[in-house]
Amino acid sequence: MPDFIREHLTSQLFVSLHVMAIVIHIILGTVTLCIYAERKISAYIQDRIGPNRTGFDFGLPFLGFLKGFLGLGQALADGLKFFLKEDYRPTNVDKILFTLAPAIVIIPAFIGFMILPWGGVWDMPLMNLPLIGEIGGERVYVTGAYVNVGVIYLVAVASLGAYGITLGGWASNNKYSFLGGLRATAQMISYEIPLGLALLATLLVAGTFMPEGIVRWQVENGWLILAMPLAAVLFYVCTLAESNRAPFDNAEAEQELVGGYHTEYSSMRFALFFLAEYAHLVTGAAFFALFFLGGYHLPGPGIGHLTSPDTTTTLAVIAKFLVLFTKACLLVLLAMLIRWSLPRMRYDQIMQLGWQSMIPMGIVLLVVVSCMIYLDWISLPALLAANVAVFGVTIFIEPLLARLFGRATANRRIHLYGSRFMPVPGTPVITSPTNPMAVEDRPVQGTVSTS
Amino acid sequence: MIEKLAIVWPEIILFATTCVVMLTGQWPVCAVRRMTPWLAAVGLIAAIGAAMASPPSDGLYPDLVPYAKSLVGIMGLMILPLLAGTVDRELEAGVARGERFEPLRSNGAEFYAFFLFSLTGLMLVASSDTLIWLFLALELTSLPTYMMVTLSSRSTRAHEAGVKYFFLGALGAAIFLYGFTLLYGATGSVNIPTIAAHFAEHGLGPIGLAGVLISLIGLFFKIAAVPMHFYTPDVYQGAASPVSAMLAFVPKMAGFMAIFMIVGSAGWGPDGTGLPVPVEALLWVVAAMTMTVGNVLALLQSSVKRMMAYSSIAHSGYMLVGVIAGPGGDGASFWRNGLAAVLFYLLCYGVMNLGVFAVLASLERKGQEADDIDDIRGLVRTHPPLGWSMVICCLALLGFPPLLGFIGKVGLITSGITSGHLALVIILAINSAIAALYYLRLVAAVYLEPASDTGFRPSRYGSRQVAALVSAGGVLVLLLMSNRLITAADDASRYAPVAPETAPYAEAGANN
Amino acid sequence: MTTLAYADPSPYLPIFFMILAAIGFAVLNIAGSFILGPKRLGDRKGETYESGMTPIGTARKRFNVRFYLIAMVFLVFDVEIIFLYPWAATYTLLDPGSEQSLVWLGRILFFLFTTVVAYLYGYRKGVFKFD
Repeated sequence: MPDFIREHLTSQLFVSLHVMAIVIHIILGTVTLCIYAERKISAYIQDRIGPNRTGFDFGLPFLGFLKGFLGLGQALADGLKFFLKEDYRPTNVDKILFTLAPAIVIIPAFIGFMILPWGGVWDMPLMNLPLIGEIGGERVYVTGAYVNVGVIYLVAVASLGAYGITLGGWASNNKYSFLGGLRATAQMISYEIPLGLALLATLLVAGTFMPEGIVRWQVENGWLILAMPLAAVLFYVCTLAESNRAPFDNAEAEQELVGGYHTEYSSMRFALFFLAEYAHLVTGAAFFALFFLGGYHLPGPGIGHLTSPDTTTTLAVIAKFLVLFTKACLLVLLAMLIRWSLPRMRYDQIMQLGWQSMIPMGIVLLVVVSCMIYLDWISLPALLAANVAVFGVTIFIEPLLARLFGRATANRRIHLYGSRFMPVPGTPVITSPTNPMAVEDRPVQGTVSTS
Repeated sequence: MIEKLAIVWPEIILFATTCVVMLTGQWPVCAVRRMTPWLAAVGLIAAIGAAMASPPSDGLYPDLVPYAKSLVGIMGLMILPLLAGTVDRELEAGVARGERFEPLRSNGAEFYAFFLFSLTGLMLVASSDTLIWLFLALELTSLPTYMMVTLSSRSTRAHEAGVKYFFLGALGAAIFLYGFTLLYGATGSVNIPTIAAHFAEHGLGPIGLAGVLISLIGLFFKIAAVPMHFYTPDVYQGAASPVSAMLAFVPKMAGFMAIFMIVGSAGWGPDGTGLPVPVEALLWVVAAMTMTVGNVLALLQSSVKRMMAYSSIAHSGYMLVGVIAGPGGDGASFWRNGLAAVLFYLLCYGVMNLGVFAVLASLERKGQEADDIDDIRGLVRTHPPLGWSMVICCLALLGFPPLLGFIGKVGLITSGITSGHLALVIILAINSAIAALYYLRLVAAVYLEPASDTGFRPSRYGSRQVAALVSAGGVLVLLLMSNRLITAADDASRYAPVAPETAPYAEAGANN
Repeated sequence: MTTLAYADPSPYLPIFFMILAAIGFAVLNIAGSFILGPKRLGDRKGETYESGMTPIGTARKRFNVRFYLIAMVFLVFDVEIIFLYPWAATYTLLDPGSEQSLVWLGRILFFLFTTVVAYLYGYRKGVFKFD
């Protein structure tokens, strides 16, 4: 091994690279299983069975005992199918951007969860490895990257996803794609603001930007979802909207836009969009678990001590990883339940929710929390009361604001112009079919000759 | 940090008023919308009150703040009634007929808010003590005016004027910003007193000289001095008269205060005659050319607004004489103090010029404001109050002996003579004679010629006529108060190039 | 707190590697499906998909001005948040109730006030109305 690499390969970097490699595989595996889970859950909600035949027998007789298997092979089959389908590019697309867009989408999805503290702090034993030599013997963070900006990194990376989607929509040179891309971009940037505000209010309470510090605060004072329930709700809704999940999946509303920004995409390029969306979902869920559900800590006798930030054994690292991962998975399942329970929102309702409801709530919450910090009222009951009060007050104020500053008119019934409900001025209103064509135009009863 | 707030209280008050105005200007209730100018007036009065009690600033001219800010506030109060009915005329007429008020089509909120923003910027220029602050304040002064020009009228001419003004304004801003960077490069500080102290100690040097000259050339745009004056007639004519009245005062005041600071950092020397030769030469040439070009071109105009635009160029030239003359040494009287003369002249010019534009704005024919000289023939007979306002303001602008403009001009001339710029003063005198030709042409049209029915009627926005009468009355009242105003201007122009003991940004850094 | 190991060149190095890995992943996948998948080209097939209709014009068209408005308002708020984070980093370090803390609180409240005015202005102008 060249010397200069060895010089820079500290224990932290060594661990970071390993965590990175492990986590990316687990996340990608989770994403494929997510698709399976999504289909199963939707099936159960719609009283179907869902995928239940694809096993791991690959059509080979001697693997027959792997047949069926709850349809678990579906994830693998889907992945393979993506590879083997035709990678088609329509003739009038922007050739470079069309290929570049899925690649740009996948990058933020990959690097999003780098700062998650998967295993807390680890007392790395001194190891003597081939090629590398002696390494370890010190404390390291079991995380992808221990950056000193802390969770600001999340805010920076979360918004990058919009680029790829916009590019994809634009490069396709398709009206559906274009509108889908526009919608997705507007929606993603709109929901970034309440996300940032809610996160900021939470971080002010925790008093730190470092993931470790946030977990420590929650271990000492209780989970932040109890202290900041409003911020938690805002954050969760925003993560759903950021990953274009139902009920915010207007960018790919089938009835209006076919497939939205990925209408023209096929095979693996489409799969990358798909993958990125699920990766965003998993990342969002993991960050929600970190900020509001105690991160890798689980209260309780024994386990509470094992997963506390001060325990640094190897066993603790594994336990912490499992705890955080389980929390994230449960949140992903929650997102799936939401998707198959709630109807899709109309686009103007999405924007209204974001701009006229969540942003005021975020701002008021931020102001209240920063004032409470000045007054040193950051006990858990006080914060809980403040959250409830902010929610109540803004819910009360928002209709008043809407009355003063312009109410949305979308829910007014608008009749079709020229119909008998809204006739063209000066024409007589006809309410019964007087036109004989209307009678004669009906399909002829009896035999229909096909020639 | 907190101490510095005491200086900017007027700005804070105006800013808060602006925020309120921005919302009430498009409030659903008509009565609240009507209240908007009154709210602006209340804010301006409060700002004047705060300005009068303002402590000395840290800048080169510590006592400039109360005088300049009160002047800005008072001029704002005088322009405010003139702005009535400039925007939203059709919309409000429609609302009166029972149509729905559509905020997207309304411009009232922005118009008044931009007006107040511009005045806020102007006040900030007066209290600025660093180049960064000065630049931001100048931009805050000008950016709203670009918008106001465009909003003021629905004609394509206004849009053309707005775009032209914006691009040339951006060019000017780029030039003086470049000059500022050179000043910073030459001295290593953005603090203006520190720069002045550096120049006093080490001399200007090539980079510092380039910085001062380039900054001045950029700032000439703001005061419409000769190489940068081309936009003036088109913009004044394109914009509605109320906005032209504002343009004649607000950017000019900002420009002169900024020029004070830039020239002041180069320094006039202890006896007031030691301005560095290249700076003096630039100012000298520009002053002479500005006066001459402005006055000669004004002679050729038949549109009153264009004539006033060229006359405003000429007046900038007069005031540059005061800048060249400088503060005239320690404890100099008003008659030797060129800066005091400029400050006093700004006040006079603002009031007199406002009168002319207010008369033009008060006359309307089918929603069009009076512009051509034919439109105001025999005004004294048809509309005596407006006609007499016009006569008084024109004579004052001309510098007719007992009137306000005369006192201002005498101050400029005596300071020019005592600082030894006799040739420039002679050019000024000749130019005053040329200016008499066109001002007297206006007076003759209004006073001597018989009335003819041009179809122009007094505007139904009576407050515009009030503004005309107030400025004409102001010319007379200020004449009676001129002794006190001269003293105030003299105090305000105290030039104190003392560097602060600690670098302000080092201190702020330690604070944080 | 005990001293902790610190990635020497930069803690951002793993992120850099991850970006490389993501690029590699994307390239491999796209190339893989390009190589493995069948190729069946055709004139009709190459057309833009518009639910089976013959496309009229291109998609490079003017679109609703609301998206521009949203983008502009977003800039206001995004810059606001960019200001808020460094503020919060300092504010949480100050003693609660101290004078300095009050100054910082006052600053951000004034800043938020201006943003709220901008928000209400946009609200009234109908920027957030998407119907």
